[in-house]
Amino acid sequence: MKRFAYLVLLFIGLTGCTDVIDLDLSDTEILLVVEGEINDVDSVQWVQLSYTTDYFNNVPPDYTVESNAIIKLYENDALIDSMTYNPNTARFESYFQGTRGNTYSIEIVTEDGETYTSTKEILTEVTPIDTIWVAEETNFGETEQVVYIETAEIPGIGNYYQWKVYINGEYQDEPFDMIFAEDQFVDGNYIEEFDIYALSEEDILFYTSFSDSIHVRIEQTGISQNHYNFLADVFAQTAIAGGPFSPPPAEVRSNITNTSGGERALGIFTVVSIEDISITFAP
Amino acid sequence: MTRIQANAITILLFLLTGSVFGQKYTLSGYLKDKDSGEDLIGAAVYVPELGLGTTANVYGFYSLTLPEGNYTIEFSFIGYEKVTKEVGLNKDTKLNLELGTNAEVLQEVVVTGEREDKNVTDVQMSVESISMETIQKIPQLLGEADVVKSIQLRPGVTTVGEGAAGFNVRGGNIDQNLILLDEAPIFNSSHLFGFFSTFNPDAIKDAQLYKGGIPARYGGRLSSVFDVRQREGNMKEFHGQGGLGVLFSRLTLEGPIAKNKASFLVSGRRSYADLFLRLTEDFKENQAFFYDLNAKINWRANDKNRFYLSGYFGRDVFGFGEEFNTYWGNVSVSGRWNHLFNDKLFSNFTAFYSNYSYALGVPEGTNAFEWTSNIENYNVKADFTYYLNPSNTLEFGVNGLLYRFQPGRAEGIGDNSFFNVIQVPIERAIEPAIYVSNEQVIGPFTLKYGLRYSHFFNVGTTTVNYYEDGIPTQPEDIVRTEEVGDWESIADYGGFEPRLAVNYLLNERSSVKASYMRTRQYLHLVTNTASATPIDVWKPAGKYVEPATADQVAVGYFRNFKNNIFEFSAEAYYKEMNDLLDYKNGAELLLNSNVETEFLSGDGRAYGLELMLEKRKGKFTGWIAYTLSRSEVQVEGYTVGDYTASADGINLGEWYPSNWDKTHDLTLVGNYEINEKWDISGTFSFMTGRPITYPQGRYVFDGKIIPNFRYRNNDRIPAFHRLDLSAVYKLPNKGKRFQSSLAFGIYNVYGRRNPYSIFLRQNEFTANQSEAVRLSIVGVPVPSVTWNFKF
Repeated sequence: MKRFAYLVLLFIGLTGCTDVIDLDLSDTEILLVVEGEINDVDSVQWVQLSYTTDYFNNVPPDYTVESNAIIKLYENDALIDSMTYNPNTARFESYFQGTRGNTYSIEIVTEDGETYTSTKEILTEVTPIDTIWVAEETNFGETEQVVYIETAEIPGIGNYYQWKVYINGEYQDEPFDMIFAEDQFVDGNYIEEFDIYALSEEDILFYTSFSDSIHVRIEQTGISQNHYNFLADVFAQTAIAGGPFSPPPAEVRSNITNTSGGERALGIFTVVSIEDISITFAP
Repeated sequence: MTRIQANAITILLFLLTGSVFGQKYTLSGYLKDKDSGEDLIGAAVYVPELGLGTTANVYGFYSLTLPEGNYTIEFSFIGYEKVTKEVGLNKDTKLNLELGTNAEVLQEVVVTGEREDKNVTDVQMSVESISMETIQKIPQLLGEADVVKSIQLRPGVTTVGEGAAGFNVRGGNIDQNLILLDEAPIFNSSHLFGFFSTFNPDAIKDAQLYKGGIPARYGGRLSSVFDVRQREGNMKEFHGQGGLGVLFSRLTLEGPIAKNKASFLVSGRRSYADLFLRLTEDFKENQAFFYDLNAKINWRANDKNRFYLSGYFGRDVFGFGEEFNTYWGNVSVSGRWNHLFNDKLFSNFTAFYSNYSYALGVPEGTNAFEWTSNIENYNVKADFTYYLNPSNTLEFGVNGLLYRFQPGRAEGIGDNSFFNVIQVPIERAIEPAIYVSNEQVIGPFTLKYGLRYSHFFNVGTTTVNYYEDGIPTQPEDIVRTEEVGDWESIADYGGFEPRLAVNYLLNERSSVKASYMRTRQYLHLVTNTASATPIDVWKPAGKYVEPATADQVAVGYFRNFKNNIFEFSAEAYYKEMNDLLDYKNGAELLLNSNVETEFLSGDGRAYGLELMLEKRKGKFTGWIAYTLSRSEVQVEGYTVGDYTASADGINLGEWYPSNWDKTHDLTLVGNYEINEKWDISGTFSFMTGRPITYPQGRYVFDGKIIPNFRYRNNDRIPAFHRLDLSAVYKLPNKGKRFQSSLAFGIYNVYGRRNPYSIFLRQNEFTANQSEAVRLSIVGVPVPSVTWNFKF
């Protein structure tokens, strides 16, 4: 339903006007931020730690600040690794592949002794993408290259998905690029002609200035319900924030809890299964 | 009415009658406009010999019971020629009168639907009404006269921002207003998301907003009653009026079906921008329009029986080719029968049906679907007014409401849609109510005391979820669902709603008033966005949702100056609201079969001071209104078992300002008649910026900058101020009958970029850069010209 809320918002956007202003936001809360992913494809699994900063502190987060933290990784409740801090990537890493059906969780002890644990997340099933194609279409008076996929949805309500789009190898990470869904409305159906992504005329001009053809890779990932809620919250607080019909500003839900009585943490520890498909096309 | 109730009323009447001096007779009748035959709501009837009087009710009926004798009865209505009648009252007497507009007076006086000193003498306080003539002159966006936007210029009435749906009365949410059109409720009073109201000013006769001390005959909402009445149509001759504006084209036709017996009124508006836009290539596939149609038939069968049939149909339709479409609108039909049992007992029987429906969908393709939702409402009610004697006017009645809520049904459409059918359980409810009240004059005191009892049954057929801990924590905790049979009660709530009002006349020109009311509301609008959307669902009280209640006390001082040319009032109020709905973070409110798991319950409180000075007569008319107020909410979290909702509550369970809390609100409205041709008006508003939530820092996740919001409404956007001007030029009328005028307007004259909201986002081009963005709904001056005609 999010995309429809967005369309309503877009319509309102036509009548209003926006400008960037100076704003003084000095009241900052310093909290631990956890970002991590276990998947069933990569050979290296990782967790990154940082802290919240002033809202207008326009520099990347410092991922080295907790390099002395201890992160324990559990698989099916059994400790399998104490993750190793890699100074080259500024990540805590573990060298294995996740297994579908298993659960994973982490426990973090920071340098000053605060302990955080994540909820137990399951590495769910995900179906492969059967087909991908690109079609030229006119929407809202603009010619777009629309990427379609077809896939089967797993029977039984309770499956959650995120799709990640890579164009010429580059991950599309803007808030508006977020694509995620739950299966409540489509449970067990074969998803035909699913328009997953659209490249605008501007995008096409940009990419074809380097090469005649464009490579698109779509990752279909199976995610947990907590992960889905997290994505929905992030989308609400970034991509569609600020309009009359936007969801109210609210804290993005996390699956990390402080178990030592200190301040809460933000971010999420995710566990995902991945299938992908690619296409190269010349618009 | 049951026997017991009838007996109780008889006893009550007996007690009120008191001692009787000699024989008494009743003088009664209807007061009408001489030219159109329209009822004169609130016209005054005064008996100088006894120093007492009454006013005509909303149907123009009055009744006075006096001792036998000879009287000089004065009938007056502002803007009308006063009529004096010698009446030798030695039997019950019927006196229907038509008052003519005072041509000379009319040049100078704004015709208002009120008795001149009603402000001071009436027991009712906290009531706002603006005459339709004034509403037509107040400058508005695109020159569209607007009843709802005009009432927002009065003290105690605000909105969250320009173009927002609905209005907030004395710190209450928008769903706490009972909006009635010819006694039928309107669930959404907005066109185009909230920019314009659904009331066509050409079809409206009178609009009153009760902000407090709401009479016992009204119930069902916490904060206000906005009682809008359509015109009946001219009883004497055929007339029409209309206009061409930037947004709407309007046409109203009215006239007698049988002279002085029956009349009709048909009034329609349609936005027409799309008709031109569709000619352009880009817009060919798209639709964007809204319309409304008011129709009314009025039949005065005889002196004892009058019938009214009114209908309202309004719709907004938006479509973007194959991508997306949506519509919403109200349909309401009401039939009324006024019956005079005798000279003293006036009754009105109403039956209505209303349906607010909305839909959203993607019309074509594999992701084609349609989501539909509606609220249907059936009502029968009987209202009685018993004019016992000049000192006691008794009102009583019964009311029965039936609701059917269809919160959402979504299904894929077409052969290859990949969507399933989702049906959020339908809910039905019955809301009966009974009330009695008496308005009593004791020397300088006028008292109005009443009691309303309402009850609410949430009934089957529906499906009810049962949760592990008895509290709707999360969908995972549903242990079973149960089908509830037809009309079987799932939950019921009920309670008394006392209403009290006192007026102490200090002298002819000033009075002190006080009131108390308790109100109960059994429906909640489920919305958590800044402005409610037309597709928000309503949730009736039921197994997991309590009805909301409110208590309000208000005191006021009322003073008129210079022969009622100036009116001054000062009112202070304090209101407490309980069991308001709030929502967990990230709540999914649409198409959610377990929507109760998203709710939190909170309390509200609001208090304020409202000052108003109005000049009602002369070439210059207008008002200054100032409100100092606060509106706050408190929401606590809860923990059951291992489930915690909003751990420490919202803002740690402390009181925090509501979205529509505006500390200062100042409004100046002025109209000046320069000469017979030109008329100019201006409005200036200033108010404190609404509360907004700013983050306590940021973090980065997956390449996206995410704000860390900790405390809700922890700051405010900058103050709002705006000046609007308009001028009306009456075109020379060659033929006497056809008259037309041009209205020019500028909305937001000095182009203030009033922020609707300030939100935060990452810069599109520079990595790691955050920025604050100001969204203004109308950030530039908007000129308009409208041509209006009358014949």
